[in-house]
Amino acid sequence: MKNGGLVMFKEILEVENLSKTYSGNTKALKNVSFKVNEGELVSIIGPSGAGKSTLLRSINQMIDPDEGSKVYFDGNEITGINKKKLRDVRKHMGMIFQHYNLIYRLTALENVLHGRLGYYSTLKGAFSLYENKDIYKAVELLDLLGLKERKYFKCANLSGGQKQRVGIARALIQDPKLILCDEPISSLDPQASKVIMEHLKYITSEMKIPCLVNLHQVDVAKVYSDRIIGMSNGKLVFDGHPNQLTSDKIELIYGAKENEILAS
Amino acid sequence: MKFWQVKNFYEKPNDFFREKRIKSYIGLAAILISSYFAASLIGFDLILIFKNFTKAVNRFFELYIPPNFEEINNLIEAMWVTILLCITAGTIGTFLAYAAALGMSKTTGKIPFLRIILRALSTFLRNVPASIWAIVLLMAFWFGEFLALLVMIIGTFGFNARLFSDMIDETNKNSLEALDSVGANYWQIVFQGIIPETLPTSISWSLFSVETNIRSSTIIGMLAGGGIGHLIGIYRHFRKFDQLTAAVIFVVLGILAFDQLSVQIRKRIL
Amino acid sequence: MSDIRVSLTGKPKIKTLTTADFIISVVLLVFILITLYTIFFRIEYKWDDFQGDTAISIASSFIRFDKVGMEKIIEMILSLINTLSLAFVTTINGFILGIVLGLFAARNISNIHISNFIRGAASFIRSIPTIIWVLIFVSGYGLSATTAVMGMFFHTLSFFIKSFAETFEEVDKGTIEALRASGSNWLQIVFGTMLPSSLTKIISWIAIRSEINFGVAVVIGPAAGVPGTIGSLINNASRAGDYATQGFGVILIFLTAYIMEVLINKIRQKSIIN
Repeated sequence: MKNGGLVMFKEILEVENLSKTYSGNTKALKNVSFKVNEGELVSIIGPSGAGKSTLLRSINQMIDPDEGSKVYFDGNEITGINKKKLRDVRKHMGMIFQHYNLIYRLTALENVLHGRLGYYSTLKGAFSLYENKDIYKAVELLDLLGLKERKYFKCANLSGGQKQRVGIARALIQDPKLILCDEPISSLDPQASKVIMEHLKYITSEMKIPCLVNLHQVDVAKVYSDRIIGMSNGKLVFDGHPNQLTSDKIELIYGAKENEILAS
Repeated sequence: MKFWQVKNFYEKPNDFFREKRIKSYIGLAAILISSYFAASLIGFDLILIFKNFTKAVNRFFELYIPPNFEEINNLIEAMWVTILLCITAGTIGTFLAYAAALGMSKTTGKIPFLRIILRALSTFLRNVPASIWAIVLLMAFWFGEFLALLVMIIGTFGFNARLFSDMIDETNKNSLEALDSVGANYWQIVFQGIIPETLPTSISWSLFSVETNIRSSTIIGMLAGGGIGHLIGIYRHFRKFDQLTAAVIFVVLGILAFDQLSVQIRKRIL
Repeated sequence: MSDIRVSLTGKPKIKTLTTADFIISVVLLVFILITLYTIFFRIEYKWDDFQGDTAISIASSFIRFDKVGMEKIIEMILSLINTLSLAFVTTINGFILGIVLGLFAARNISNIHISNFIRGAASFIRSIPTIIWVLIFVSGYGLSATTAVMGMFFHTLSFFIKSFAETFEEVDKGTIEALRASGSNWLQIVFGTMLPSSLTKIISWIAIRSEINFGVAVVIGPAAGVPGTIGSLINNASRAGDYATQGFGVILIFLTAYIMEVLINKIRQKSIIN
């Protein structure tokens, strides 16, 4: 939206006082609050066990957050809604996983089309009776991501980077308003990682779809993010522009100096 | 150290092996002694086998050889029916087992009450030899092809249900998580996620079930009727042993042929 | 847009048909067609023979243990022990010969021709149904427990040959080579590493086969006419209309088999730990 030269960003996601306690009193998340706007690539960094994965999964309610946590998606509260409404919400939220999470015996094309299942009835979805326009959209997306030649390949026969691109296409075909990325490049080599991050950058800056990306590579986060969120022990300890991520801040998040950690 | 205190260390490494070996010898001796008792209980006399060997062999050749193929048309018809029944029972049993597995497995079974019932049912049917049902249900369904089919379906179901449930539990849960995250519902996840991943293994097991059914078709036919087993029972009753041999040859050929076919199919789908 | 494959009806395709997929589809199709044909066209249903009330009375009497007289209960338990003994003796006999032949059938310590021959013979033995083996012995030796055991022996033997050969072939190659290199003879290799390394698996196989043999022993009674098995008692009860006894017998069989299964699992867990 433009307002006399000032570009206003629409708020897509707001997380307020998000907490998650596991049985045995382990607090994985402690009162985390932040916002994500349209077109932002927000990276979440922090050591293992800091709660990054839990945070992501609490947003699309794959994990139930504690009482008092509130998640607002596109203006509506989505915490504690019933299963049916939740499925509707998830239709508009894409997710990309560290281990790709594809159905390996099916083709790339079929896996991308899975992204549309939320929009189909049980019968049609179960028997792959997709509409032609969705099939063309899937082909278009795979072309866009450089998988033109492999759309009929079974996913078991794709490389790691290719699998992740199928995952991205699957998220994009949902026409999502937000994409959650759980360590999307942790299982990839540097070359494939760059390809994936470039795609994510394109998605946020050109397609204006905000992405919330868990990363443990600090320098990757610095290069690609519009904003960085630092987590430590379940608490949000940093929320700002990559430029503001000084060595002190890194030390705060990781509990070790920047040169003591392999931040790449 | 008192004798009742557990000895957790051994003075020499040899002692550990000695103790293990002594345990094995004791176990072995226990087995041999109990088998002697069991044998005398039932009146098992191995020596008798050797004593009467030549006499028995002669009698066998007298009665069973050469095989008599004069009723070959009946044999072919019966074998054909047997194969039809075995495949039908295998198919129906496998479908039922898969459906039950969906209800039983921890991954896809969403109703705890149903899970418990299905698990109990499959444990019960798995542990009772299928042919018993031929006897139990005889009075209700009477002798014939239908009873044979029923017995084989129960057998196939009992064998496969738990197997499939374990197979579904072993499906990669990550892949299913992704389908959940796009907003797919239960049945969409089952058809688009679980079934594609478990299809080759399920088909392999269903082939094995058909094979098992053919192997037990003889005894099921004798007890329940239907197929070539029934014919074999009749031949035996009327002491037409030479024709019985002919029928057995058919059965053996059927088993070997299907065995080979399954091996070839399995090679190509797994 | 890149090339999209189109199906016969003009709809864009999303799947790929590999050989594996094709064969799976064919197998499924053939099975389903055969099933439909058999159910609707081939089986004689004999609806008039179907005794609905009998079915209901069987089902309802199944667990009416109160209707089963005390002496019947004792008779059933005795025959259960009898059946178990049959199974046990069969297993032991099969084991003794099976382990020897299994050693000769293992490709890593035996001649490939001998191994193939033994395995082939075992396969052939297995293709003749157990009941036929029993009948063969009955004709030669008459009807008794001995003949029943000898009949069941054959499948037990071929089972052990196959399972033991497999287990022996899994023994660590390095150890065998080391023993060979140091000049050990065949017997020393067998007792030195083959048997000790496979011991827990062997015990597993024995337990598994015992359970199978129990099931076989139960059924062989009524089929072959061998007296004293619990199967025969159930058969008699069925023909006499005594459905309560029948049900009781089935429950007994189930409990026995279930206990064996639980024991087998315990043994298996122990062998994994070892």
